[in-house]
Amino acid sequence: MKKLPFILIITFALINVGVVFAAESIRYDFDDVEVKYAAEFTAKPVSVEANNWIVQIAGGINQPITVLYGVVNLKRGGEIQLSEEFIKVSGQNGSERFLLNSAAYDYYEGTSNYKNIKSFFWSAKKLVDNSVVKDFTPPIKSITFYRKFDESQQISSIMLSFSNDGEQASAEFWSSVPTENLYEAVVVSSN
Amino acid sequence: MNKAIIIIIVIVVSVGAIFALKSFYTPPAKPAPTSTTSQNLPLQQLSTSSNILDRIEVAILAKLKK
Repeated sequence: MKKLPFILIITFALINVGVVFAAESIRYDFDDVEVKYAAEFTAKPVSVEANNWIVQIAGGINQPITVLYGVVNLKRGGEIQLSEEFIKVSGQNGSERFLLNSAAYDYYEGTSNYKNIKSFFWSAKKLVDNSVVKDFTPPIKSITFYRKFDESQQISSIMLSFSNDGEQASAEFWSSVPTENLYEAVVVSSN
Repeated sequence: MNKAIIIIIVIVVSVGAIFALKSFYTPPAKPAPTSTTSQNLPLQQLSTSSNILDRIEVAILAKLKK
């Protein structure tokens, strides 16, 4: 019975070492990109603060932005290494690109049909060489990409919320629907 | 109980050592393949493995054009 604490400690140690190696193994080392979903659309500001980073990209508080979004499988030797989501927002003054940090899925009760999907992108997720590095140097730019579906699974609304404080946006991501610094999609085209 | 504390210290030191060894070992850098896009990218993006983002972006755009 006295051995139990030691067994637990050893187990904990093995898990720790596993986590270290698992974290190290996430590499963007691929030779093929399989695109599962792609969309490009224009989004117009609904309400946005003048000092928001997206306003600078857009070229003004009333200016629209172009959004390129995709869901991809990154493959090597024909095998999927990892799935990713990509977003690019462009305007008169340039563009920014991000990879997915986290996502939340809500379903119609008792079904596997989406009710809404939230995806969170931020500049704290950076790529150095082919590995992900978390860089929390402020300002952390973020995008919460929100899609609402009707019961026939057609997208009924697409909203994007932009923040200069990615850590706050990250903290609020799981509990709320974005209501500030919003842009709404105008035209959607997808494959 | 003292043994347990020693084991915990050993574990913490071991995990630290693993991270330290990994940070010391930097694999030789591979030459970056030429980008296939013609867009002008901000310098910050160019310095953070923009090639990976380029490849993903190019694939998404190609899918949209199909």
